[in-house]
Amino acid sequence: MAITPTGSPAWTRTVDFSHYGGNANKENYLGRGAIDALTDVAAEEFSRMVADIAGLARTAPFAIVTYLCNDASPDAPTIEFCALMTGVQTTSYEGDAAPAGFPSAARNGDGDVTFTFASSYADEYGVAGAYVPRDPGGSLIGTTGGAPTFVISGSTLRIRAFDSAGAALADARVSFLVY
Amino acid sequence: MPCFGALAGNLPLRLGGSALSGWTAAQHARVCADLVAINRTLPLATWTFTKTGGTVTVTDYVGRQGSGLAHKPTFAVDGGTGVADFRWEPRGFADPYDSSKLRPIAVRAAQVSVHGASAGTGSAQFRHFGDSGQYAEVTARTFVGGVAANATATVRIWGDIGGQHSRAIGDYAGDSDKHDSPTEGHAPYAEFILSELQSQRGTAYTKEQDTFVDVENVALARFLSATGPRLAEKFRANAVPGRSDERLAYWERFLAVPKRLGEPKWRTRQKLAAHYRLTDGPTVHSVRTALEELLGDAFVDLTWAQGTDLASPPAQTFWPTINPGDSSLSLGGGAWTSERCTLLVEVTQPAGMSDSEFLTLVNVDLFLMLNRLMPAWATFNWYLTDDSGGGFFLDVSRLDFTALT
Repeated sequence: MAITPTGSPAWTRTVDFSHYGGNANKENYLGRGAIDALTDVAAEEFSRMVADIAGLARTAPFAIVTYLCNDASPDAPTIEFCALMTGVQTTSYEGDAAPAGFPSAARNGDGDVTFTFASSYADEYGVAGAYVPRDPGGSLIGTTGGAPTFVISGSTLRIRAFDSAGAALADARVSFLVY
Repeated sequence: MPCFGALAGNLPLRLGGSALSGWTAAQHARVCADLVAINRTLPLATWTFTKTGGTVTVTDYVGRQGSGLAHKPTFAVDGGTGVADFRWEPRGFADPYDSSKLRPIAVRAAQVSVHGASAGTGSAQFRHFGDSGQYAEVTARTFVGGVAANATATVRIWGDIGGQHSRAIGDYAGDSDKHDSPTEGHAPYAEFILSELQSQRGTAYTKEQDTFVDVENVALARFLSATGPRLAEKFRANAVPGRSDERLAYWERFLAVPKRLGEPKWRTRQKLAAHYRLTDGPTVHSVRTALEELLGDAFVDLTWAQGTDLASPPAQTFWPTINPGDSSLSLGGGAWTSERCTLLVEVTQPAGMSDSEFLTLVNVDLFLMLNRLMPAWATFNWYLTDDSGGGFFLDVSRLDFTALT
């Protein structure tokens, strides 16, 4: 019989330490503490561990992406690196030919692309959790000064890359994160 | 189970019990899944630096390998106005359990945020270089008012440390079939033995905790539980590879299933359990179940062209004279061909699985298992599913991965 984990996947940001086995009144069984620190894990240490995991799960980004705009020969951007909470793609792919489980990306104009995420992803046990992109941030990769800006609309994330003068930056390379 | 404390608190932990003193299999599963998830997207490191003149000073550093300036990049040097170079040489983070070992890092994404009251932006570059890529370097550029300028900035980098991106739930003892311990899930063996010891000692001996008598009772109860019922349970579990731990090496030899260098224990156990199932013979059910166990999330479906009616062969059949079929299927020379007895395994590459892991799974592990399981007159192969539902069975270039667009 397949196990169903408690709670929802990390990207739903709904977990707390109780989903990991923590409890405010956690105690050693029948009140008897650990005997040997080198072989035993006591309720106190376990409580610290699960509380810290909950903190990590709340603040870890859902996706880290590095991509390259293809503006000289207009085409969908090349996603050079894509780490999602659900999987990592270390070999590059074209935005209009995304592997299953990874976001697609379309070109809107110079330095201007739109990423489309799924509305739901499943964790390692097959438990699905709704996903909506939020709290993006990023940086240009290269020698040019400037910054990307972000617009979230539903499950899409539009990113425009600008140089320091405020002009659209063609063929920009950008790293971004999104929660 | 009551995982924690003197009666049950020695590793390995056993899953089960109440919210107050246990750790259930469902809670453990959530820990495994979320650890795998956050491990993929948490930064490798973040640090703040100030560049004044030609001097780059790292003022704060937090990394996966440690927090504090003792762990900052090996070099932080001037790269020109508004440019600071940071280098890890050698390219790696110290192993948390053995600081003499380095786990190689691969920087894949970066972000630079400029501090200050003026309009500032930042950009980054990252590369790995040296004769064999033994250095990792991150260049941070800062601009104020659109012009390259020295500034204070925070850098964040993401990527991989020593293959950590390929972490799986199995690395944390996760398994989709994990369940609460049926034997000690509610109360440890030691509890029953302790109760019996106290009872047998009679009223002359105290039952109070933190007394010498209690310490002796608890120690004896744990000893008896470990050498008695737990030992028997361990023996029973090791009698089949799917639940085995210390006896995995025995099952490797017994089933003659090779183990790859660096293969994690959970993967070995998964393979052995699938091979053990082969003793049922190549029935449709046992083949499907064995494939599900071996391939896990990579398994999609099984197609098996069979049928007992020889007069109505499958569509892709060419049998000269007897059943010529479509002439385009002729191999020439009177040879016959048929898809009958061809087992096609439809697979998918799970999102977290690298190409090398996947190809090893389907070209080595899958082949090894089906080669033993299937009769000599049957053939088999795998093909990758695609979103359009087609998929095809071909081995040319990377067509297996990308299909035709």
